Amino acid sequence: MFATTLIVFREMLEAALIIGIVLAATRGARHRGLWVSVGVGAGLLGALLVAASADVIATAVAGVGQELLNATILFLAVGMLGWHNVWMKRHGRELTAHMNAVGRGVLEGERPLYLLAVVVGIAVLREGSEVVLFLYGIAASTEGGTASMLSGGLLGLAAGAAVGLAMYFGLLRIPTRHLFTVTAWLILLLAAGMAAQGAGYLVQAGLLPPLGTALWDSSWILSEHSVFGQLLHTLIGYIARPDGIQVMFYFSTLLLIGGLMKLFTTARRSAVTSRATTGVLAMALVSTVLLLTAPRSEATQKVYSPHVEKGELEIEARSHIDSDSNSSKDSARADKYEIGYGITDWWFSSAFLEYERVPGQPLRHIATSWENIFQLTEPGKYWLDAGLYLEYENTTDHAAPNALETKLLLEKALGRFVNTANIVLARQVGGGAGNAVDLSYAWRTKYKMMPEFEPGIELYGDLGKLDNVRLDSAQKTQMGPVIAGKYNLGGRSKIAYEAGYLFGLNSATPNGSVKWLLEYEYLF
Amino acid sequence: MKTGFATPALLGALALLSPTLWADDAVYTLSIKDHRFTPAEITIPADTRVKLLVKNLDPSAEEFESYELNREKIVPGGKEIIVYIGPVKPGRYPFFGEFHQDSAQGAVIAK
Repeated sequence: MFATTLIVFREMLEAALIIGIVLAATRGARHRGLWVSVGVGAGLLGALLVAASADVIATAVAGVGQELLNATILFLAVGMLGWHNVWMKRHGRELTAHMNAVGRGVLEGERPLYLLAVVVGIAVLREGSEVVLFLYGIAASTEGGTASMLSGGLLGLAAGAAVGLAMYFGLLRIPTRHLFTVTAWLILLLAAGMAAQGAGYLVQAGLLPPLGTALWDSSWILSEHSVFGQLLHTLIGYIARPDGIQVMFYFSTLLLIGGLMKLFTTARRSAVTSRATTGVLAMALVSTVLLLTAPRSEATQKVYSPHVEKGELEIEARSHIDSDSNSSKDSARADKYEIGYGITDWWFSSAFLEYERVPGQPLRHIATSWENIFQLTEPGKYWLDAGLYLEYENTTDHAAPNALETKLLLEKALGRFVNTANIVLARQVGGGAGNAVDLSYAWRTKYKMMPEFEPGIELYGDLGKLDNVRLDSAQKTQMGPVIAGKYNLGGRSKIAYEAGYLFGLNSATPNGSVKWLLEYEYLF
Repeated sequence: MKTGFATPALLGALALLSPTLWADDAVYTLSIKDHRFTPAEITIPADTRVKLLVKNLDPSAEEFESYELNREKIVPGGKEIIVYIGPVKPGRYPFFGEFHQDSAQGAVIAK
């Protein structure tokens, strides 16, 4: 009986928590009881239907019907939660401005409670259908103790409901003026978690690439087996061993909904729609490039500035494609997809996926890396600006060693000319790692013509090993023109680009390389 | 608002068009009988995506679940389902039948 209680409780937990949050988020709204009840009722009905047609669903669409159904309703819920949050941001000020009961009443009447009713319905449907299947299995079996198992199930339902109630009353203890801020955050995280879960189902169905199976494993800190792990799984989308694509969906959702919420709070309503649309399109573009392409020859090439901006979120895609008359060097390609954030005014941290295509082979995800830029000096305070770059590269091929890269970032502005130099040290770490430290450099001089267009020249070269510095024809050396710029999308978002062509200066280097970079920036 | 899932939907559509995703994957079969998995341990190649065919020979439904593999799928009574696994690093990845956890335990061994 206890086992039954536990299973039903676990299945119930998610739905109960979501209902608790929805009830708190709609505090004071008229007819919310009705809408939530409709949601629960429809969800139960849906749960019975799904359970009854489990056979059909399981075999539908070449055996992945279940995953498609789950992913679809999860993304639907993500959309509803996002819409609700944006609506609240748009009308939140009006709601507080119209303090008189009539004005509030009219506005509250417009509030789209049906969005949250759908979310409640979906939560009940998803979890409920599993409970129904489980309990039906017990009831249909001839094993003894059916009655005790069923009462165990009811106990589990009650325990789940109790957690939901605790969530609700806990949230109500928050003062009203903060309550909606808290529920907005909870809903945002809930939505991001659901998007990650939805992506997980599509990976399970073989419809999306995992982009790194188990990107990390934090089960030794917090297992999803534990009740606390499950609570966090529902509330913030905690996954102990997430796939790369789940992490991507998680942050994309946070960014999309969070960005729209910001836009609708800070901008005026008339200008809002176009800005929001531009922002979303820009994000979609970058994310698309992110997923569609893949591949790398060695490192993508970029000159790093030592400057860090606090609160700046960057999503970046960059690529580097070689061309050479020799087919063994032709069409090699390196891509990096990065998401990073200025955590403090001196520390920028980001995660990225590296892809590469060796000539004649398909593109491949080769590493997942963690990058940090530390700004060491206040820009312009000293004769030279300095920063430090630290990167840890975790290769997907577990037989290959991982890598550690350090760069000294130096920058000096002379009038409109900005000169940036990077001195790069790289070494392998972990099993099979060599002892040598590779030395290389990167240089850029650019002319600040206008923010949207800055022409410049870049130079990249290898210098052999740290204990054996060489500058001979065996060292790769490339140089060429680049242009860069930033477009303000209005509000706090910007699109930045870089494009260039690098000529190989010796036989160790491909004849030419095209490089480009596309970045979306949002300042929080 | 449609923006909440426009990107995932778009990405999903794009991924569906990607030919590499529809490559043939090797199939490994598991059966559930009397709320037990046979074989209880199944060996798959590491770093390769495989198709796991789970046949439920019991009349009651089971849920194939694994935290280690990040998988969760209902297997209706008397039916079979497909779960894609990996590519995973070498190691042992336990799974269980959520509806009968005391008996339905197993593991995928990736080598």
